[in-house]
Amino acid sequence: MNTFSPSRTSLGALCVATLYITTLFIQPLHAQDNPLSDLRIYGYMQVLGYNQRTNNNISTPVGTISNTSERNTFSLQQMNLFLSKPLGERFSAFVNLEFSLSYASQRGWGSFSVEEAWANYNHSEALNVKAGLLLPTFNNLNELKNRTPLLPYLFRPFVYETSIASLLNAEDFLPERAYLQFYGSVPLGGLRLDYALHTGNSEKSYISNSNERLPQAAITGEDTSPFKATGGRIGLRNASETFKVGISGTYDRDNRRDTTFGGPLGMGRQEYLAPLGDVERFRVGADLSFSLGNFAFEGEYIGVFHNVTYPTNFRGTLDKTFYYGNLLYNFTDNFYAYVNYGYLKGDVITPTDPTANGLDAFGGGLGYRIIDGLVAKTQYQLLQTRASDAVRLNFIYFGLSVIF
Amino acid sequence: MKTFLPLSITQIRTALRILLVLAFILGCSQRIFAQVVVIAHKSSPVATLDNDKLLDIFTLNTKNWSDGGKITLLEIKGDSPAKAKFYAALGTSFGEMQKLWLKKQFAGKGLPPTALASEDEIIQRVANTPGAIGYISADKAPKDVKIIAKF
Repeated sequence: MNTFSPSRTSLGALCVATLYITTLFIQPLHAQDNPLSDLRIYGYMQVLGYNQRTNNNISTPVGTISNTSERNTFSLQQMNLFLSKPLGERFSAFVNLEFSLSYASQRGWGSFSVEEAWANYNHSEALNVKAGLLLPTFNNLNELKNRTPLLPYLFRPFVYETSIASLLNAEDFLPERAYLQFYGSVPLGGLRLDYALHTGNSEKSYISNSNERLPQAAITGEDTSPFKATGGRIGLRNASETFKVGISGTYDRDNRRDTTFGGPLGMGRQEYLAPLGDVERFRVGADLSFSLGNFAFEGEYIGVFHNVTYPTNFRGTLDKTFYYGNLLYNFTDNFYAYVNYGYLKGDVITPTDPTANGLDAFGGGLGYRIIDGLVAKTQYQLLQTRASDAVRLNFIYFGLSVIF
Repeated sequence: MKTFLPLSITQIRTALRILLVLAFILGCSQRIFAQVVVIAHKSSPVATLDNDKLLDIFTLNTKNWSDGGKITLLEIKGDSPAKAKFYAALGTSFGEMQKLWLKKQFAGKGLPPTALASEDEIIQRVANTPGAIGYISADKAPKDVKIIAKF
């Protein structure tokens, strides 16, 4: 029986044929308007160095355990690459690729993700439709959290800080992904009324990347839950966005069947949480930002509420709270200073949990725009548990934000 | 010693100072009172635009003309009296606009205006591009474009 084994000559012929066919397709494209001619590629990066001092005083049945540690390190905190392209007069496409924490797959450092990849249809100011992988509109900062050159600080308010996302499980506070969003704005007096409605998968712990029982049952990255997340925001702003206020909300399910989650702040909690199943969750947000003379203020609140019947051995709550405020003063067009405060209370599972009463964050810093697209920043940040001063972290950051 | 000048040295100094101050005021007044016009392509569906509409266009809130055509925004590179006057008339500043454009660009909600080197280039581009809009000093306004606002 003859088997087909391509010779070197037939492979060469195949290559030539492929090239020829490709050329046939490419030539007409060049003959028309080049579809790549309006493609824009741009992005930014933020590199930082920091000093961290940690003081722990943890009460245990055998006494208080105290320790102090210090570290100094540098990292490419984040680099984003955008590709955008208008598609005719009403459509546009946008891709946002994100590399974080000195990403190097070879060394097992950092992470790379497709943060956004969507197409937008602009029917009018009042109606836009965005479809694809997108960052849903929720409060003011959710869509901007990763646009580091737009932010005055280096260490973002708790739930928006990518570098600690794995510790906090930021998705418990924020909708991080959606796949369809209707949004727009209509004039209202001298202001504009904004709205956004979005829908997408439930939280990522429902997304299966391996299924030991039925490996063929789910394709990697698919949401295997039967329910979806929906939400939106309604707000007011002026045209130049020096004043913005709004309220947001989402409804979805919190996967408390999941037994795999447990970062440093969630360690040992699975045994309590796992029996709760799929818990109805409501996230409520409010945001306010404005500029007044040389001052600029931004602040947000997020409350997370669950509709759940707790088992008798469960003495905590799944409800969570987060809020922050940042006050900035522009000394000149190129030089600013700011102070901020933030508070976060996550899951409280046991009364001895060091974070049972939440974490406070106090900070402040300076920024100097060296030239357009290049800003030097510095920041001091203190994080500490509220109740007993059990954990205290001091950070001093120096960073450079570059737009390219 | 006799001098042949009809004025004393002190009087000449005073006169020179006054002249300098007058020249300064005149220079400033040209900057302050220089008029700016907003120009659009002749096929533009609008005859005039008020400040609110212009602000909506330059803040990228409005991206299409009333007939559905795409708006092409043009801007002058660097500093110019016309630029300062134009954004002040809209109740904002170029610095604020830059921040807003960057925010919208990073969110995929629009691209900043195309910056051209001179007002002459803006005139030429507006005249040749349907949907284009820009601003220039009033004394440069040519006839082959439509003037839709004046400050």
